[in-house]
Amino acid sequence: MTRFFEVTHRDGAARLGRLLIRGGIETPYIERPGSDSGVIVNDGNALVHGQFSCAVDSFNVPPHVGLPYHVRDEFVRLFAPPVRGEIAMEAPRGAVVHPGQVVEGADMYIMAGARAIEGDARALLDSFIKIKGSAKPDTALYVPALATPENLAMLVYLGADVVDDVLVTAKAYQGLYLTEDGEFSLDELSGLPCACEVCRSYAADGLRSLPPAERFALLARHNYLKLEEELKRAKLHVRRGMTREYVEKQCRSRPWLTALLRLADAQHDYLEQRTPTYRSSEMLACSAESQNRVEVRRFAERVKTRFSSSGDILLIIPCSARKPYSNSRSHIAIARALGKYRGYVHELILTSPLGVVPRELELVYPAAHYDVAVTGVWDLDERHWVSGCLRDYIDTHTFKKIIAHVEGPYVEVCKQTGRDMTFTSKGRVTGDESLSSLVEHVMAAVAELGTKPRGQGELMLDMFRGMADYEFGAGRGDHLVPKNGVVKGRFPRYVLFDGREQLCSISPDFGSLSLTLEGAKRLDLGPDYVVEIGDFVPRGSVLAPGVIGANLQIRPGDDVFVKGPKAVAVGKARMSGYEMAESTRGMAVELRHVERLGS
Amino acid sequence: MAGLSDVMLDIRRRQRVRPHSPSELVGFWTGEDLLDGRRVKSNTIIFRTKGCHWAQKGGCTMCGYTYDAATTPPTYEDIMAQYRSVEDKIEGSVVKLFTSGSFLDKSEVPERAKGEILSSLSKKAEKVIVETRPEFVTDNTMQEAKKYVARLEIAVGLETSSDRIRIECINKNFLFKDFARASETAKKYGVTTKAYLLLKPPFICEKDALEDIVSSVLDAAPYAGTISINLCNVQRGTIVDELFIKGAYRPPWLWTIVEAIKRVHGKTGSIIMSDPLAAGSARGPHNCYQCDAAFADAIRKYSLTQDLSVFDGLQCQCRLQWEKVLELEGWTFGAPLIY
Repeated sequence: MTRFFEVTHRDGAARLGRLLIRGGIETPYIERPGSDSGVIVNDGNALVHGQFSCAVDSFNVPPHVGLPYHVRDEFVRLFAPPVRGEIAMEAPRGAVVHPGQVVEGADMYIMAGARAIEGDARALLDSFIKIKGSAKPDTALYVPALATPENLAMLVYLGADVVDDVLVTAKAYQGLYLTEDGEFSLDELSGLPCACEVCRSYAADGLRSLPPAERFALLARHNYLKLEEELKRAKLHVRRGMTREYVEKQCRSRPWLTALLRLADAQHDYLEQRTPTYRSSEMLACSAESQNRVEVRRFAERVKTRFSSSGDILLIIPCSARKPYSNSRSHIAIARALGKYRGYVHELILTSPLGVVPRELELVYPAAHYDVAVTGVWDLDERHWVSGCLRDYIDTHTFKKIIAHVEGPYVEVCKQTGRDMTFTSKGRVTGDESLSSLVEHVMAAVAELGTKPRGQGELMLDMFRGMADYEFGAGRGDHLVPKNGVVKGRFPRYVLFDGREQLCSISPDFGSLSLTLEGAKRLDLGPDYVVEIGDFVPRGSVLAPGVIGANLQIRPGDDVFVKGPKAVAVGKARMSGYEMAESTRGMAVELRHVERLGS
Repeated sequence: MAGLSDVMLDIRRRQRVRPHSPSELVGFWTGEDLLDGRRVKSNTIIFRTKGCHWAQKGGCTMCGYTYDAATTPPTYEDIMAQYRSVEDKIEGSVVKLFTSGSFLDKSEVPERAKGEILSSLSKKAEKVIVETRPEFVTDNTMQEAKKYVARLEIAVGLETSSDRIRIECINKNFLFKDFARASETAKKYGVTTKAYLLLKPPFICEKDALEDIVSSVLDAAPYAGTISINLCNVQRGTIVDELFIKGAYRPPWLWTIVEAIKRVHGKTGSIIMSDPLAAGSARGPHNCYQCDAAFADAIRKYSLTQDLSVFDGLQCQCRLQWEKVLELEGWTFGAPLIY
């Protein structure tokens, strides 16, 4: 628990926040130990120094023996940090921790000796995971002497709140000129690829000819400015919810940073626990790693385990650049050609990197939010991934007839499933010949199978059922959507009613349902997606200290049912369930509707 | 809870050690030393014994000398054979006897061998220096040794005057007061004391190491007429080695020893010396690898002249790096800043 730090924005593990000293200091923050402005008081090595600081406007790091990641456990136990009692609680406290240690009660955790694992992606990732795993979620994490313009965004992406200018300064004094995409020996540079105040004033030769003290000081200034610039950039992307997109390109400057991103994806849980389920930002899939990001894996996983539809005929069609797909020219052309026969088929859109998107889920994040590099050529990984998703979908459903109306690389992907299907496209899927072939085959299948159609109303209700299943778990859609439900509004802004009672609407911006209190009640959510609060009537929002318990499945963006002795409410989660339960600061749920109970 | 000794034992168990014959010396060389203000020839003999008794219980965190120990404990005859193999080569005023343990420990050097060696050397050299842990400096051992040699000096690895660092970083297993007692005991018999100090033990940063060595020199000076500062080097099969491999340890900068010498020069009545062993290598004390040889020369020269001006010509732009290291290494919270 902390009174000295507050998280204000989250984007996966990345966050913006404030150190609550000196009127509030924005994080991520660059500590500058050599300067007067530092916010951390470092009491030094416990074997040499015995003085405990207690500054009320700084984070006090008591005497410690820091040990880097790879040292053996015996040392970690031997030099465990001293346990401090009440005195330090008055002032903000930092604790130097080895990932193998659990230290309670600090406001800021300092990753001991992180410098020693520069370049060691596995060790660094494990350090983040372990320290974050044992520290309270609302405490700050300081990764010391490691940040450079190259790696800063990645440190922020993994959850660093405080870094420093120690390594960029040390590198400056080694004659190294840092940029966000590489470090160079000043001696090898013919020009200075930067427009900071230093690089505006000096040419490379001019800088080189200065006396060392002056030269290094200027290099240090430049390196710091690049670090600061990168920090500002990282903050912008966190605020936009696009940190992932940024690190996917920023990690290219070093193989170990790329490895770090891949390892973090392979670990999955660490990022997944922190990644929002729905949001309004765009999702760009521009690299091979995009396919492994949480949003993509989670979508595929939920399609597989939460979503289901039943019918006779599965129609596979290619994705479109325009989202939602239904608004694209190709999908409109196919829908028009099918006409009333659209009600006889279940549409499934084939796409990279998401895999398969059932028509019912086309508005869900990130199906309606992604943009992907399109070349018409799919690499092996993409083919393997998408055909795997398709095969799973076919195998977990009971369609009697599968029609693949696809072209180009999609054909290969369909064939790669090894499942029986009819290909109807002759060249381009929207060509007249292709479309009439499609309609012919659908008509034939309907005749053969005696398939019953779904009406327009039923198709819309199925969209709500599918989305509710996707969001709240298999079978929830049937709780939410009444048999005689009515959908009003224009696509995609549908609203679901039971008679005059509004149950929910689709929020296309966020790619999710937006529940009314009645809708939430009908979903019968307990214990999933339920937040239990104390004995009060919340107004506008629920803050973390008011939360008694929260389901661990909850992610930022989820609609949750809030339940307490005095009130029930529905709203959008602003943090993950584990954070709500353990945090002492910050907004847990942004409420939409509140109902006071009894009296 | 496992302590440093347990870790050392674990490391020592895994260390592959070459078998050593009990009758072969570990080493012998001649060099120069300072005696009564004169530069004189000196001889260093390192006997192979069963090894330091403390090292066998784990021992010091930086010490790999114990891997030179004999596989079977050398007998009186073995030790004498070792001595005879170099006896004729000894010339000059000073002879230094090391065992990588304690020459005065009779389980390492049998009494009879000790007596014969000392008495033989007393005819060859003006001064004999024997390396020993303080626990072997007793009325008995002093009285006995003085029988054979007129001018005797004990050399004790004090390492630091900080008990915390000596115990918790080095695992030396004796206190400053044990050293002081040994020195006073020796003094009673007219035996002088040389203190070996260790610059930059593991687990502390460069600046703390600098400050520790300066105060250690000042603290040890009243007890030691000669103070020799060992610049920690990374010996295989030690905790320091393990930390080094894991990026958690860097040997001291040569700037640090120069700075330390400058700070204590003239403040004590003791001779201050240092032999920059392995200087200029990653496992030894080093600066930027460009200027290391010049630094090592100057440090050796100072040891023989006690003349501070030998450092005057030393210049390298890595000084600025080193200054940043002093300023900022504490902010890595447990790792070297520049390796």
